[in-house]
Amino acid sequence: MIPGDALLDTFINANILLIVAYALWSVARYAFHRLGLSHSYATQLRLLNAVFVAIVLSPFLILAFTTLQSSGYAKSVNMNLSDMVVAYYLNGGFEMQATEFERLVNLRDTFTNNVVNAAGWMAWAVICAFLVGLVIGAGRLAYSMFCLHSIVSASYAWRSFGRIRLRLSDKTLVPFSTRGLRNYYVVIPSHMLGQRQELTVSLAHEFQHLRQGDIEWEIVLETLKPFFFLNPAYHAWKRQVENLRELSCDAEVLNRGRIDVRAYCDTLLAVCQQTLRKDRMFVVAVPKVTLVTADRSALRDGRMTFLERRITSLLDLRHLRRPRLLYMATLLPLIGAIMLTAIAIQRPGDWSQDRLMLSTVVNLERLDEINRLSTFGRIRN
Amino acid sequence: MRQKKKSELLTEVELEFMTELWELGEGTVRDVLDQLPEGRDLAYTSAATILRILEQKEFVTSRKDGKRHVFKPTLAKDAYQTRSLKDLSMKLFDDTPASLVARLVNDDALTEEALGQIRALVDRRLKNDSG
Repeated sequence: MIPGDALLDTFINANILLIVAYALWSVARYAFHRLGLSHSYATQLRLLNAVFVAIVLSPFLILAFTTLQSSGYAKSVNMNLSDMVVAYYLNGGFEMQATEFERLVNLRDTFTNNVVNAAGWMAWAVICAFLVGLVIGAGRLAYSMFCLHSIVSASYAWRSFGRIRLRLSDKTLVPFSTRGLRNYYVVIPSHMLGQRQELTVSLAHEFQHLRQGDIEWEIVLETLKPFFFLNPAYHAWKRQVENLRELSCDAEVLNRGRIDVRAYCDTLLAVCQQTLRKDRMFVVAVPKVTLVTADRSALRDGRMTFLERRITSLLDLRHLRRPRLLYMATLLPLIGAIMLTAIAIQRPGDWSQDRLMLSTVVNLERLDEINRLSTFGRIRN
Repeated sequence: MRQKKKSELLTEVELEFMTELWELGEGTVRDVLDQLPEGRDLAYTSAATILRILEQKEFVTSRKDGKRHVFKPTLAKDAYQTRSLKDLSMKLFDDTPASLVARLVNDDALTEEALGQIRALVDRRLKNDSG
């Protein structure tokens, strides 16, 4: 059985990695923008997904690294952030009371131990907040899946090929796709049968989502959401994936050259108009990927809506020359940085020379304090 | 997939098809397609699908006539009109049909002739109920 503190530690590391990864991603996105590569949506989406995989796999890398070190390889390599800060402090890098510094350095350990042992009101507050959020999130996910199941099961079988089931529904106004354990379901509003152009565009769009594996990613991100609900980077990450998958899907469908850009934009506008009608069950239902979603908040705030962005990007569609080169050139440094961070934020394995030194300084500081106080006669034996 | 709950109401395109079928009495996919207004860009397969959905919703039945399927409405047009009005009254007029009629009667576009017809209908209904 995995001990509680190891589990909590992995969870904290995952949260830190997500924040670091999102910050790195923002830098990469800014670089893309400056280099005129903002339109490389498919590459950006693949990058985001690859970095996410790297975060998920990071505990295994750390395990491999520690195994290597324990078997004598790369033993002198110390990339632990905490150890580096201690060394910097001992070298006079910054001034601070040793007791205070040690408290800061051990903050994470103290927090982990308190939470695992449920010691103190703070630990209880954290545990309760997390559990309440987790239960609400899991409940919401179960209800959303029930809604989605209701919509799909109330739809009518239309066609099927391979593992793809095309279904027609009079319960939804927006085309979407989802999947079961084995089959993929593409659900089209039945009224679209009478509008050939909208039907063609919707099917092309949804099939592209299936090709890109967007449904699987949506399932993964929705399933993990109840666990990472407190992490703003996770929500921002998910929003990025959602936006990029639509932009990438639009670009890929049009690059195939079978659909005219005007017809595509007309369909997006027509379907978006339908989504503005309130359909709670449809809005709630997840995990699904839809043709378009109405961005009401943007309308309220006077910002550029995502639909506007999609249409603008469609009209400004450019073909990326070397997507693989761009992908690899960005992925390698990103993964490298993520892995280094993953190793750096680990709890230090044992007492290093510097830590022993710090502990000695702290003890001396305490002795000095005791002596000082006893000099003034406050402490008597 | 579990047994689906049958929909009580028709979508726009289904209503369009049912209207043609009510007019025809019964007909094949091709018959219905021929009845649709010119310029209605609808594929044969799409029309067949719509009729098949109508059959699943139990609004029509079908029988085989050689290689073709002949579809026949199971629900009369006036029965559907009643169902549709009841739904409208429930959803939009707080389940008070009087509000629905009031809104209709207050419509400025309603001619005197139409108002006279409505009055005659109401009178006839009241006479029948009391007699």
